[in-house]
Amino acid sequence: MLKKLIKIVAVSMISTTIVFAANFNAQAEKDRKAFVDYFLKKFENPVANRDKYFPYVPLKELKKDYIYPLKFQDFQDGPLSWYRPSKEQFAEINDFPPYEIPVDDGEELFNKPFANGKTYASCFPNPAIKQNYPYYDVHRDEIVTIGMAVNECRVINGEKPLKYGKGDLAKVVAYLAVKSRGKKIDIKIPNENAAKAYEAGKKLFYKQRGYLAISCNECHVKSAGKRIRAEALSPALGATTQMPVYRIKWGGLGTLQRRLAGCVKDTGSEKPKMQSKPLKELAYFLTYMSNGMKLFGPDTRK
Amino acid sequence: MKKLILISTITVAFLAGCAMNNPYASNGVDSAIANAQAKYNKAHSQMVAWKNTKKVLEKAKKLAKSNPKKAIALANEAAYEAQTALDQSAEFEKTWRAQVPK
Repeated sequence: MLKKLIKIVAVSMISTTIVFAANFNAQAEKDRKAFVDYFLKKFENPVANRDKYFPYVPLKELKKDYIYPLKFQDFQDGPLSWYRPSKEQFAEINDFPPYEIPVDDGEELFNKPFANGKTYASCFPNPAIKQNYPYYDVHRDEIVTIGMAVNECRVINGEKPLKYGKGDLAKVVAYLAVKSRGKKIDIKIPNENAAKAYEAGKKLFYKQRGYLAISCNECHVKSAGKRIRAEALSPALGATTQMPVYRIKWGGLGTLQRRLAGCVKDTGSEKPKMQSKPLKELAYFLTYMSNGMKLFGPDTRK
Repeated sequence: MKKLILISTITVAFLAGCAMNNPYASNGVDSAIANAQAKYNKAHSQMVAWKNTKKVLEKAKKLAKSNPKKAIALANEAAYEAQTALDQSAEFEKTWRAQVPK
């Protein structure tokens, strides 16, 4: 009798835990499915769906320059996924990818011993980890980014942390990205606070801001697949798969947060600080939206 | 005599009125800057401040002694920007959810 009772209690506790755990990402999953569906429909046939999604794009351009239909994984290429002129241009640039030297530097840094004789491998024995970042650390009750993980590894080994966003930190992250290529993004929402962080990131993505009164959504969802002059606007779906990215404008590598901070500034808002809570929440939301997509970074962009 | 008293009274009242309304009178700069700073702090804490507001405010502070007229104009500009940022944030708070794909 007692055994039966224990069994019933245990089973009900486990099922309650599973039900609650599933609930934390219920809203996020609903959002993600609608998000993916929007992009798949938009790029299924831009010519046929011109009235709905591309009313101001000349038909001639849609027929000549647009690549379609796009499948889920195609969005890993950002603006190159749908815009043929950019795809051809960057295919030529990537004959000798400008990010290769920084990635080699990253590998060298990864294997170079710290003053205590250990290397980054003491923290990341398997460097194929990028698919799980950023993640919500339930013990620390905060989002941990891959940049933070690299710097924390340095600190516990007695080294000074690196500057966020670019330079050596971006190089090490680029090396980890290469090692993680082909892994599917797998971001989890483990508890209520993680769900709150996700919601905060979602709000930052969709809420208009700055003196231009625009949001990330305006350019990278609603206007994704259009151009601003000669620039092809990239879809938000898959945006994090290519990071860190080598931008010709920067003349070097930059992390996801560097790119996001620049985007927020472009709305006419104050530039958020690297690793600030809102920026981490935005990265958390955006990466979750691409859950299930294979990593592809680093890549080259204008 | 009555005329003289009347004219004097009107003149004094006019000058007093001007002095009270004159933003460049004593402490006008300080209060304009304090007002702008308070509004900027509020917008900044809510992560909605515009990218130039702080720069304009800093410039106003630098010019406070050497060119109070310009400093007040800049401080008022910064206050206006910060207030507009707060107002638009409150407005977009009501509408952003409608932007999420369903």
